[in-house]
Amino acid sequence: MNADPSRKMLNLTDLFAGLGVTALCSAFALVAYGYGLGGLARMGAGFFPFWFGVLGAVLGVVICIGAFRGQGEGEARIQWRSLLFVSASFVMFGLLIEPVGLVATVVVSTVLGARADQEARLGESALLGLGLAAGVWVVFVLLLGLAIPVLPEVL
Amino acid sequence: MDILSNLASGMAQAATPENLMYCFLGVTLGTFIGVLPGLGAMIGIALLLPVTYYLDPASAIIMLAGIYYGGEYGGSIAAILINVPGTPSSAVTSIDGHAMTKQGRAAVALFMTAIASFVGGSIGIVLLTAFSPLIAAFALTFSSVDYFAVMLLGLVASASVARGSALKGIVAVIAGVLIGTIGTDVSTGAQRFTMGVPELVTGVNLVVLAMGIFGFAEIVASAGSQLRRTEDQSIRMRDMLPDRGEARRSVMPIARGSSLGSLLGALPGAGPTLSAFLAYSFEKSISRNKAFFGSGIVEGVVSPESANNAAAQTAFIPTFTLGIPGTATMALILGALMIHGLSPGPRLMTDNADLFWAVVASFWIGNVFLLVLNIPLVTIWVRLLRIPYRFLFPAIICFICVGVYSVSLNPVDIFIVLAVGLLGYAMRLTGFEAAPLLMGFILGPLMEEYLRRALLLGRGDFRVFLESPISATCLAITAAMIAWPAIRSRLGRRHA
Repeated sequence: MNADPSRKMLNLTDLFAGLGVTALCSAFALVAYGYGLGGLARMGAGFFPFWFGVLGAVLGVVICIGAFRGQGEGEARIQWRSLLFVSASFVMFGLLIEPVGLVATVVVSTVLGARADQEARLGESALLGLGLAAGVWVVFVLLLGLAIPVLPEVL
Repeated sequence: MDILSNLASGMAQAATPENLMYCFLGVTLGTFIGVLPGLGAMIGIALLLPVTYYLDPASAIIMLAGIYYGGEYGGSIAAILINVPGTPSSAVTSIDGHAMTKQGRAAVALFMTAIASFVGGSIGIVLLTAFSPLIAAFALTFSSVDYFAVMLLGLVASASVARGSALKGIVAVIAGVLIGTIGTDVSTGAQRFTMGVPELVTGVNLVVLAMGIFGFAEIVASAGSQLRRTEDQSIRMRDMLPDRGEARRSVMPIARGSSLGSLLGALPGAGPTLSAFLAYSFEKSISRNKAFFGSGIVEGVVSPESANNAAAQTAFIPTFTLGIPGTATMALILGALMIHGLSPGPRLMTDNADLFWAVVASFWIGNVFLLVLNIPLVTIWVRLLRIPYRFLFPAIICFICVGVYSVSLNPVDIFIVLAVGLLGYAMRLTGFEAAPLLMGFILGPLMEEYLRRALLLGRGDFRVFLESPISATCLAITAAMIAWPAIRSRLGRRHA
């Protein structure tokens, strides 16, 4: 952020965290209120989540206040590369497993996931993916007998 | 002796070839996962949980528990050899353990660790065997009022001993409780926070949550980081024996470490990590060789290792007898019990006595397996440390995906894991811990039910919580725990 000396003490990580917590917990509390709080002797469906949401929202505000006092661990560094490739690996698995089956899916998501490490080589991770697919097939399909599609449906 | 005959029948059940195999599998996997830095017993149990759906409950718990205490053994191997603790509880072991490795005495450190772990574990099991029936009998008198108070105490305790700020720990617990309310409310039948997603009607799946919040976040944080390089050191059997002086100096630290660990392990929130830290600092403060701590002396290895293994066993006491887990890993075991249709609590020991004693007996067997795995076979694990991480994390991604998919063969679950995982990563970046969240998730729904019943009992009057001595005591301790940080900082300011 810009180097304004008067704001040096502000802990941005904690500020965002506190705001996030307050927003999420308020949302829970608000929706829970709609479920009906009921009376104390007969708690409604909304009672428990409502009060926990309120408590969470208040504590989120406390975290924000702490952020202005410059407490906390400091800035966090996001590992964009691994976040991107690991997420992509999950997304591909979810999209592919039913249409193309286990073998191709595991290879694709392994190759993709391995890219999170800059040193990864394509051939190496494809081989790893094949090995994993074989292992998964033995445990989940052969031993546990799950109905996971193994090969593409057209075959 | 009632306990002995129970234990004997449990032993008979645990020693069937099938259960022996699951026990062996569990402790081997546990050691494997413990050895690999960054992979804790938590991820191991979450990964294996879907597989155990197909086993009978006793075998499932025997295997999952094996992963847990096996991980405590394995964690110290990485700590000693490469100065990276495989599990958080072995972090202290690396101080003197790795110093011994640098002196070329890794074999001795590994041997003494295995022995200390075995003794600590055994003492923990003896206490588990002896005290569980007593505590369960006492807990039968608990009403829903008491249960609510004890759970509240457990949650606050687990939040306040978490690394980092206690405030964020409590927020994590609350987040867990809120996630736990997603789905159909058991007593009113109302669907809460489902947002019209049919997969959420039955609530967020425990496996999905645990894999996302621990697995995904862990992989993203450690993929691509060059976090380890093994120092090549050959470990030979004949180098393992300590000299006589070292053996003698280890006896008392092991005894003290085991006692401290057993005690702390059974308390809510404490667990193996805290036990190991306290045992180490206690040993250091009373030792005559104070100055040598940190330079590679055997006392600094055996005391935390006996403590964390003792704690790993006694942690099962509150989980099995009260149905109240002290740590997040225990919460996962509790979740596994519930998935298998068992209701944890004092009735578990009477209604499912077979299962309880079979699991306890399997702990004895598992610790003997571990002794074999860690002394004659230790070289296998040493070699394992040389596998580069870039092969490991894609494999973990694959196991998470397949494991989650196998639960209900629904690809939507993969995307829920991803969503939970992103939340988990955001929490990690901002200093919130995942463990208290999992505790809140598992205990939240139980607490809601107990609160509902307690208030029904008290006709809507909160004074019902003060009338029962058990509940009043727990609430007083909880209040003290919440107030303590504020009081301490006030006192500190006055001194300054």
